[in-house]
Amino acid sequence: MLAYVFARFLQAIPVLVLASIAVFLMLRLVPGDPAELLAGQDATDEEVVRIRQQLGLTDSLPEQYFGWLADVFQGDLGVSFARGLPVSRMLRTAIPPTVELAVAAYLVAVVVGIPLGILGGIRPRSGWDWTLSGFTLVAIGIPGFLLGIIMLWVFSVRLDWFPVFGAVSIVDDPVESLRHLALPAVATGVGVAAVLARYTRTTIAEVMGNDYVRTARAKGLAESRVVVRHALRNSMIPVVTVMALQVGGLLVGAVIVEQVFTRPGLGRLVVNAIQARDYLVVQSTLIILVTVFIGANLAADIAYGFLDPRVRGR
Amino acid sequence: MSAVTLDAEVQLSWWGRKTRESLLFSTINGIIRNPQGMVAILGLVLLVVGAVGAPVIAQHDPIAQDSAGRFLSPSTENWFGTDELRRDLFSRTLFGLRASLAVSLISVAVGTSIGVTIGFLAGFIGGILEAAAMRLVDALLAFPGLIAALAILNILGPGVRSIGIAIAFFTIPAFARLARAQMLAEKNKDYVLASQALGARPVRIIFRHIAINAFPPLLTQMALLMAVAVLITAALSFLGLGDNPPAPSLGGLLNVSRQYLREAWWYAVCPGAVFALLLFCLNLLSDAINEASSPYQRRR
Repeated sequence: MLAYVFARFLQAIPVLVLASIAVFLMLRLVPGDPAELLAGQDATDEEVVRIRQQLGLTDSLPEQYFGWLADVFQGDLGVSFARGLPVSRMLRTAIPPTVELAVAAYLVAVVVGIPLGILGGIRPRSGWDWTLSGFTLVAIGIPGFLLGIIMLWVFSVRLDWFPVFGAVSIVDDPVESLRHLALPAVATGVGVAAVLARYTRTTIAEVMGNDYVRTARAKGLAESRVVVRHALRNSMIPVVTVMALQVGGLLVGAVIVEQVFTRPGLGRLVVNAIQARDYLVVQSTLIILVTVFIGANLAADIAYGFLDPRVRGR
Repeated sequence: MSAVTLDAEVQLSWWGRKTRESLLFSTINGIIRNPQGMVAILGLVLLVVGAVGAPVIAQHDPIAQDSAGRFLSPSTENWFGTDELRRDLFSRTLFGLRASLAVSLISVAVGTSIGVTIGFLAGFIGGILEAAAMRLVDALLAFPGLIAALAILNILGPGVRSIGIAIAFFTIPAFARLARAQMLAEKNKDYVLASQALGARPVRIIFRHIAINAFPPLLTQMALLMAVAVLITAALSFLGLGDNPPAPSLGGLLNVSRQYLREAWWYAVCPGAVFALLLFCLNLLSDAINEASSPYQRRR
């Protein structure tokens, strides 16, 4: 098992290196001189020269890349030219609200999606199954930000149950924080819930048709035990993989939904940075998103190995 | 067997296969017979007519601030009400739909052409070129479309043009991979070997013979990617990264509407409903195409 995990880690490294090269080259691909772009329009010549030296733009490309990589590993992501703050400090304030939202949305997705999928899967073509089909069709079709606007209108504006904008740290005031989180979490999580439900339904329905399920029933086990002990356990393997793979999509969804509820976070940071052409901030946010995405894929593979002995054997 | 039926069977359609056996024909047939597919097609026809005919259908100019007042609720004069600048929201929605569809369609078409060309060439030539191209494609496929789009917006700056390029960019790998698979499946079939033996040049074989047979699966993929493209276009303009005001876009309308939810619910709901209908139809359509073209799920 350890060897399997190690091998998977090794396989993730080239992808990360490739991604880091892509992100590094991004700034160099911008039409024009990066130093002049970073300095802004009203910069003096001295400032441009200083930035050029700071970025090491006079070195060769490989030298620049490794220098930049060394800085990144030391937590030095450069200084935002639009705000004059270190990028790492801006990220430190932007990451927690996004992580809170992503975690809450993930909980919504799992708590709603998997039970719905199980109910639909054990009784295909029943009332539950049709409810499930309707739900997934609508939930996959409507993007999170549109759902968010509709919920904002119904629950915040008309019914006044939830605050209209902002976020409160879960550490400072848990109750108020959850009130701010509820709608964005549902808006972000419902789409993923639908994906999970659809997937769970398919795998459960498939497993329920197997011989060992018939055997379990034939030997007189209670239906609940057949479902939980025999069907569920075997059908959860692909579902866990899909759960891990959805983390990336969830994070991207959170970034957009933040904008609907005017929550601070990575979404607002990256959008403002793109509009202000604050390259270093965008670059750094993208590194984080990409790393999380690769990490989620890796986690999916490792979980697969844990759950299914056949996978790690190879 | 009488001469008449024989004649009918040999009759060739424009793509050079027996009509009754053609995958494309049976796919289209399957979509139309499937109630889901029919709903999707009707919905899309309605929306496309609205988008293409926007200049004729809309009674108001989408940019002119010429309505009777701000935030008028929907009426026979202004079907979707009016916005904060006394503009007619029905016109703005139609023109926004038109813009979103145009960007998505053009960029998916461009991305498809490039991706299919890469995939066909990689599959046909093989060797190191194929390996290199496919590793690159794998790397590109590893990232969600929106992250790639944000990276491209960072390089090119916000705007409709950048969104179009971003969509074309992430369309490429999906099609390259599919086209390569198609090429590998087709390239050793008898008809290809026969035309090779006749001395046809590779370009002719690829685009004249193989491409036509590989067409139906590519069509399915296009429908799927249209849905993704429409979604990403709207999401980016919702984030305020793709608009050139005062020209409307579906995402842009939704973005502005958020500030006026208290005064004008229709501002969010009407464009939102049109957008939801569009996505709903595209999703139904790709489901229906999938069902019709997959031999396992095909209805008898």
